[in-house]
Amino acid sequence: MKSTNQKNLRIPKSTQAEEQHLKEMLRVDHAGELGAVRIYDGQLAGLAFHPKSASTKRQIRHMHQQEKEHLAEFNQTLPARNVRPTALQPFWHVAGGSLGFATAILGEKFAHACTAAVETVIDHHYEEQIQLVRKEGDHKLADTLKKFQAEEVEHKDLAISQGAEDIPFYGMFRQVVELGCRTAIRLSEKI
Amino acid sequence: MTQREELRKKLIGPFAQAAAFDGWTKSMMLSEGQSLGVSAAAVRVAFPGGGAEAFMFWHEHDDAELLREAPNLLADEASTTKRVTLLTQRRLEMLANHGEAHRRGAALLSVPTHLPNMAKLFANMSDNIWHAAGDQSTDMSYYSKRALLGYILKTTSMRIATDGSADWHAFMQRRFGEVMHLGKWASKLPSFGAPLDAFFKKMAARR
Repeated sequence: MKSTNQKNLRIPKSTQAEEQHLKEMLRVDHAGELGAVRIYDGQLAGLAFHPKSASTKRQIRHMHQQEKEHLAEFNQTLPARNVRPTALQPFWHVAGGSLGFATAILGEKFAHACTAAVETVIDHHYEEQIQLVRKEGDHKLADTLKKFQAEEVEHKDLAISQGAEDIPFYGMFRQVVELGCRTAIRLSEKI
Repeated sequence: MTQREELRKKLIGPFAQAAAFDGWTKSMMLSEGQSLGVSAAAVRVAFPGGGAEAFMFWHEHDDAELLREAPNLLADEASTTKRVTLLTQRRLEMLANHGEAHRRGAALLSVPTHLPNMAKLFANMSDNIWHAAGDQSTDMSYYSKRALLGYILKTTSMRIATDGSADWHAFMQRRFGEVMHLGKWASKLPSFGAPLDAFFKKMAARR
């Protein structure tokens, strides 16, 4: 029975406000992984304009695969915890894809710069969430998040090692992308 | 559970009984409280929003009850459509058992200032049924499913409230028929991001 399984997955005792906040964060996780999958979708398409980018493509395919796994996990977590998905999904679908495509057209290093900026924000988001989840004593979820966070940091480090910071106006570019991601997080929490 | 929650649960059954005769009024709540040995002050603390809040809580309470009943009610039913129909029917039976109380409450919530509460009432009812049915969707169908079931609940509950003697089961089945028809039609529509996806696929295949 699905509904009896759900009872076992109930969040351990916590105040209503904390539970609400955790639900918002899980909604953001789901939206974020969705966006990440779309960014890499867009990048793989955009890199078609750069015929010599085979190794970058290989790296992106690997990260793409990991993001898909994360998304699959949250596709299970959301219904089990009765968290509604964000209603802005169609928008993130297009926005994520466009961001990936646009950066990849500019070049491999721009694609990596985009990854570095996005993963920085995601890393902070996971860190904040893990602390909250640990405080509530839900270690199973915390471990899953920890694993995902480690993979996101891996993506960030890879992107930087591939020369993400070498692009012109990297600081400004990063600020813009990070601001976009933070706005997306705030919106997905509530909508 | 807090003390206040317990008090609310204790009061809500008698309130729903009495509301059929007196409506969801302050005097009904106070006199029912008195006969249960609950002071007027405690009743006000339990439902500071008055009759409207009590009415909303009554439905929340029945939603929770449905969630508890769900495993027994659904048994081994595998078809999602049948699961949702069963749950909807049970939920509306709960409502029809106190049809007059619902009518009085719905009248109270029909003023424009209560429009958000009215919407919330049926949104929660619909969400609860899909949750109890084990809905696993995390895409936009999450919202279309709930909106369509909300339409069924809203119209059928109005039918129950306005003509309690009529057979609302057949009415509900007809609404389900409409929604299924609409669903089949809507599934043929292209999705919002489809053109972009097709473009990405074409580009990614290029070498």
